[in-house]
Amino acid sequence: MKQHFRRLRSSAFARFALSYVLILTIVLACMFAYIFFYVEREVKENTLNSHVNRLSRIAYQHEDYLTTILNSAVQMGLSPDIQPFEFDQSPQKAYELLQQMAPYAVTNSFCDQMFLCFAGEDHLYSPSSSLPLEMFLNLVRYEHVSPEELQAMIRAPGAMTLLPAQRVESTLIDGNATDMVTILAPLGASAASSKGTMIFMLSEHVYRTMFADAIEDINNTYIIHNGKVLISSTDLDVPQDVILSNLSAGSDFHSDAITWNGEKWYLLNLPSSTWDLNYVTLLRASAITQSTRRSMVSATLLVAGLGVVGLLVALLLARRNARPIREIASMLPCKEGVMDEFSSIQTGIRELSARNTDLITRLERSLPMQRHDFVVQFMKGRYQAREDVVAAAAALGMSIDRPYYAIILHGMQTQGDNQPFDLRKPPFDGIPGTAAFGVELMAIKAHLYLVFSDTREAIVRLAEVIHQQSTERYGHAVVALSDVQTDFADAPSAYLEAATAFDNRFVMDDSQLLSYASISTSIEDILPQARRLTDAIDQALSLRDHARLSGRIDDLLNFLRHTNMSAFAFRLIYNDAIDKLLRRHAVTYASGQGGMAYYDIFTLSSCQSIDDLDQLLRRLCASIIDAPVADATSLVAEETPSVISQVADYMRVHFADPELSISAIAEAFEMPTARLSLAFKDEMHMSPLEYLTLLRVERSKELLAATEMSIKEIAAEVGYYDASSFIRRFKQMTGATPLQYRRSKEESNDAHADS
Amino acid sequence: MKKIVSLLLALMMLLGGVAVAEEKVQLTALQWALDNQSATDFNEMWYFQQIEEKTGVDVEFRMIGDDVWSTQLNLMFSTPKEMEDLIIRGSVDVEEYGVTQGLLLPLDEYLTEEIMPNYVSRLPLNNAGDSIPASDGKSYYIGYLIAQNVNHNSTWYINPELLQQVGKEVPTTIEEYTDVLRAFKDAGVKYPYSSSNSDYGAEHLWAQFASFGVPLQMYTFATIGEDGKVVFVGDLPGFRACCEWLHTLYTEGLMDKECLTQDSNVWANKVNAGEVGSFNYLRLINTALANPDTIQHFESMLPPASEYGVAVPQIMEIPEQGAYLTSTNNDPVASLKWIDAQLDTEMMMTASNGKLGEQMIVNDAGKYEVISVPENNGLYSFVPVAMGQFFAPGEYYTEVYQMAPHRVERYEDSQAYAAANVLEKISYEYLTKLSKMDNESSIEVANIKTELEKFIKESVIEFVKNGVTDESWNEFSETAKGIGSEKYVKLYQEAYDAYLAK
Repeated sequence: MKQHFRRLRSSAFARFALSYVLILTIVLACMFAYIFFYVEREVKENTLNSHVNRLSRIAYQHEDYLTTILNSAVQMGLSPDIQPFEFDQSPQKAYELLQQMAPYAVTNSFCDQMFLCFAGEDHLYSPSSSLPLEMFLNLVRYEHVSPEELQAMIRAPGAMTLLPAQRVESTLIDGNATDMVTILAPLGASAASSKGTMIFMLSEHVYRTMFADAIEDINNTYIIHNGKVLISSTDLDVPQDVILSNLSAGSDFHSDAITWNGEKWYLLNLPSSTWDLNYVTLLRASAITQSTRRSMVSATLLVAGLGVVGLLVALLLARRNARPIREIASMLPCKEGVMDEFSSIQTGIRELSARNTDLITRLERSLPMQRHDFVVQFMKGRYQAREDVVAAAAALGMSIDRPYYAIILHGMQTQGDNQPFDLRKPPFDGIPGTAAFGVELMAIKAHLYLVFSDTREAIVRLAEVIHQQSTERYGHAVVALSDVQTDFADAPSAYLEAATAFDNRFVMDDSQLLSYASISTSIEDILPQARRLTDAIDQALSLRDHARLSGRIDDLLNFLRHTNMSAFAFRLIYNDAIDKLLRRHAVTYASGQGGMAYYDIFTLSSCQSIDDLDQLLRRLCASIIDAPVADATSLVAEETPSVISQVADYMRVHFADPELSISAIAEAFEMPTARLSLAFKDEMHMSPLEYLTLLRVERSKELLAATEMSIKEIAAEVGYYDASSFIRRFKQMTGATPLQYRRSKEESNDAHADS
Repeated sequence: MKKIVSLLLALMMLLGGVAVAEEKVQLTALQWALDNQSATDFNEMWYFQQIEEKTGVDVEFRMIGDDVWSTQLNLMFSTPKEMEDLIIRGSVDVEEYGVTQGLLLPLDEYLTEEIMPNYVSRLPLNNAGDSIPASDGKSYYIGYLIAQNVNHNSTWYINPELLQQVGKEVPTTIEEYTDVLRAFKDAGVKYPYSSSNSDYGAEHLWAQFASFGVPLQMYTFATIGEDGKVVFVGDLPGFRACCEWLHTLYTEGLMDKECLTQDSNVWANKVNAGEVGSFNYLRLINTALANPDTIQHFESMLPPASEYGVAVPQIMEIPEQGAYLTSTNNDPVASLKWIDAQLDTEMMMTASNGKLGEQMIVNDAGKYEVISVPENNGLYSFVPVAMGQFFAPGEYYTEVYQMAPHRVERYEDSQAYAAANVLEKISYEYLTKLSKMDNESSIEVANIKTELEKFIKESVIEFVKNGVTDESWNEFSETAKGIGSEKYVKLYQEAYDAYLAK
């Protein structure tokens, strides 16, 4: 039980519930305090204000009646149709007078009776009848006014006279006896006109209606005129003297607290100077106290009600808020003995945090591999959109969202640790606005750096720094740089550019940065000079001048060393040079087969650098210049163009066979490889290999344009074992990658279709 | 075997009979209600439960107050398919909805001894049924009539003690009457004759014109001569003579000078004060003349006769409209039987006066007599009173009902006036209630009447005050014509002729 209570106390629900109930208690306590301190005053003010408003309304209505009465008396007195006459002499006028009075009876419909009496006349007139004054005085009996007094007032009304409410008995009045307020007004503008008197009798019912909204037993309402009560309500049995003696003078509204019969009362007095009237309410003070108590009880009940509702809401909210916490706690690993949800969450989060740290460590360890994968995927153009690339890189802690990027290939060294440079460390980190990532490419024995930068210059600068560091560290460096790209979709092209530049390390001066941009892809600019230099060697051979020959060879090699050219261009040039020398001096070494060995395809293909060419060329020239003079005409036998034509046909048929090679063709046509190459080049003006490449590229162009086959499928279709070789060859021949070519053809087709 | 079959048949008939007895006729009714009784619900009323038990007819009432009666009636007639079966009390334009639109059912073929024995037996009495047929000769409603066997409103009264005091007999001629009034004046009577100016009041000064053969009243200023000709009252020869006689009374102080301007209240106070010697009024037993010490000294007399004859305006006891059957009525026979059950004497008296033995008894004379009246219209909680069916011509009513003293007084006076042949020969109500005009003529007659009324009032006052000269009389006659008295008479003549033609 104790344990259960402790568990409940430490639960999230209990904590929430306790908090909410505490807030609720504070709010309700404030409300109750406000009610306690302010309600009494508010209730009293409101009660008094409501009575003042009621008095104002009664005053307005009553004085509106008085004004109507006075106006009627004035208008009738001023009317030319209502003139004094003697009834006995002019009964016709009496008849007409009744007609004239009828509209005024409508205006004064709140009056029970309305009479007119001309000065000195013995008759009264109402809107429906005439009657003798004497009869009126005999029939209409006032409780406090004698017939003589009434007659005197009728005869000489003076100003407006208000007779306080009193019982009037008469068979002329409906019901025979009722309380009436009587108002006598001079007929005409003033009493001085002496035209006559108007008598208006208002039943107490008119006033009862005015006072109808009074609350019984709480107040009495009085209308006081000239120190006398004109009329009052009778809900409270309070002598009128009490009111009159306590009524203070003044022209503005005021309220006085008085004590009568041992009880406290409020006397509210609204004076009206127009008619010398006071509108008074006598209000029992206990009524206000009772109202206050009622309001307090109501307010307390309201607060209690709110408390109950608030408590329910608090418990519901606590339950609602505690539930997810309980669920979270149940999901987290929890140590035994931890009693409440918050502690469980705390322990669980710590546990998760420790596990997370371990995971992060492991993740970081595998980061180079993932980055390697990312770089490879990037280079292969596997990402659909730039956002995908950026997101994938960000997941590996790589910030690559920069406008420029390029690929740098850095040749591995044969000694040392051979790890890629860590470009986040000095001196590489001194180049602002760059982010670079290095991976190993074992296939080409190079390190690849993927560099992203805010400026083009920073990329070139970083490549130069790598070159410099490699040279300083290993004494030699091969660093190739692709063109600076902007579109991430061009990443495969960038790699090819870098690879092309890297391949040129054999034919270019690799003491400098190998930039794809600096490679001249056109041999047209190089070949004429190379041929002139070859002709100079030829001349030296013809002269059998060793020194001259060595000088000319040096000239050719220096030229090639200092010329930026692709490997393809290099091969064309050295094939061309050797072909020319062999042809010119075939007679020279016709007696022996040694010279032809230099033109074996494997010998030639092993010539990959200028140094290789240097050795090959010097050996060939030495063999020529040292050989005895012979008939060289047999060197070029009777291979007819028809045979070469057959070879070309054979190649056009079999170019898609990946096993097709120059040696295989030579074997098929039972010709030496070198003779086939020379005869083919002589007739076709290109080597068989170039022709074969040309056939494959042309066919691949058709497939790229006309089909949706993948690059890999097309490469296999035209005779390449792997796609990368095909792509490289294609770019060398056309200056564009197969993908770029396909896109350009599609755009061209779309343009045609649109036009 | 035959016995068994007979028993079975008898049992089936018995069961069938029980079933028929339990099957009630269901009807609906649009029920007119007094303004102050519109909350009364007849659907739960004790009286109609009794009628339902007697007739097997269950009527569902829709109570309609008088203030909205016309509106609701028009709405009902605007959708004939949804009309109630019955219309009870309330006024309906029979000519429009019965004769013209055919939305009311003609009842003549159902008015038989078998279906409506009570109603049919009373129709001939006092010619009570004469006014019911519409212009097409068909009867579209069941009449409602509480007759009192009275034939006039204004009776002459005189103080016999004063007569005795001045040594006079009850006057029979206008000259004798004048002498009596002079004698009263000489004897110190303050007002030898007094009247009021209250319109339509029986005490009005105009009642005196009857002594000069002029049946002057406020309802119409036309009268029907014995030859069937309608005449403007101002054209009757006695009109000028009466004005001259009244002038004589005025100038000699024989009449209350306030006759022309005082209302009935002031007049009544004078009578109650014992200051009046002679007057005209409805009856002596009433609330206005509240001083029994004074009233018991008066007695009625015949109107004094002049050379122009005597013509007291005669009133007729004409049935009002009691019930109608709509043209879509589901069961006219059951409907009329249900109405006639209410006209059974005991049920009719109960409907009007309350339960027998509680509010009403049958007295020693075998007549129904009211013994108590519940306060605050308490009767309406269980009987329909004035909103139910009642058809009692005078001849029948006086036989079965013990009339109250004030009604007996009027009845006896009426008997005396009829016997003395002082009544107008053909009642003016033939013009106001029986002769029908089209709408346009009705409006024109009403407009002329308004002008004539004002003119006659002012002229009579003028003649009384200043007397009548040939010039003033000619002016009176010409002005009356100018107002349209001839057109007025013509329109009434046409309507009356049409009535007679029916």
